[in-house]
Amino acid sequence: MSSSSGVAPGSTDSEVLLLLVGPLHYVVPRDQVRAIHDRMDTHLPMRSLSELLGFGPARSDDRVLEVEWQGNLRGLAVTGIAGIRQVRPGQLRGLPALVERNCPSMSVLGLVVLDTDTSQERDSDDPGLSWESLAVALDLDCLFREHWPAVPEPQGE
Amino acid sequence: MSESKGEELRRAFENAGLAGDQEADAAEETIQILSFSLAAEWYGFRLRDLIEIIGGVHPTPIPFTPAFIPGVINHRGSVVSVVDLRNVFGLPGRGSGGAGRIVLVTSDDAIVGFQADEISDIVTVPISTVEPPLSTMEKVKASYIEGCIRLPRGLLVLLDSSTLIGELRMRGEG
Repeated sequence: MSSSSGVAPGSTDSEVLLLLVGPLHYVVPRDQVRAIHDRMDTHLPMRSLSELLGFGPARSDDRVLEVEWQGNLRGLAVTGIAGIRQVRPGQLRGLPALVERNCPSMSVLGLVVLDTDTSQERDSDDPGLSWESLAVALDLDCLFREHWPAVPEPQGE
Repeated sequence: MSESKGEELRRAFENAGLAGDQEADAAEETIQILSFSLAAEWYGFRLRDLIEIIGGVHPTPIPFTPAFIPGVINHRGSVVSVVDLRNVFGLPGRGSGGAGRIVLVTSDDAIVGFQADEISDIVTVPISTVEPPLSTMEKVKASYIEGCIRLPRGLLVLLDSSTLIGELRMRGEG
């Protein structure tokens, strides 16, 4: 199975960085998705990732990630794309015990520390003062199985 | 011989004096508490359990976790859970988020952050002034509480960090 990983901020009151692990095919501006699929005569089921994760309605979902699942593409609307990162397995950290025991979903793989401002880091030897962000790593296959297993059939003409 | 007897007596007096001091210390045994406010109520952790107080940090939310866990933070290279005590205690208002402070407390080798509206001060009180939790408190809530202390500014609820963290961990297994 092919896999790729990307970093896409979800949308909540405080911005959340999500590292999505799964077969990502395309990143499309939201306002063009419908036109693209109409031209190709295909149907793209779409959900807001923010809502799927239980974070509530997104402030803005400007990009759509087209992800393959069970042979079909489905769309995940996100606020934006922060970049594509290759993450080694050793970079993935487990959730702290209190969080892990209270997180019933298998789709949350763990956390990855991302350097968001390396210039600040160079100025300081204290790791507590570096500007690092935590990204939540999500297994899209597992997320779909748990929270979006069925896709309604497209409406007929 | 008499010199030896004198030495014995001196030691006996010294020991007696020492014992007297120890009794006095036991009578005056005190604890230090970091006090903070939550929804206009006073809470505290024992100072010995305090790691650090940090501010201006927004916890990273973790999907599918209950509301009492606003997220996690990266604290000096370690990922630390953050707990919203307002939610745990059913207090009014939302968690203070980045505007407030996070009190990092240790228990059984784990560090957990607790959101606080405002850090007050460190109070030193005789241990004898720590009263059992009020009988009117809910049983579950009372289990998190080591005791209550009457201060001039009001009642301060001393939290038992070990029990609190242990019970919050168990919630997910219930």
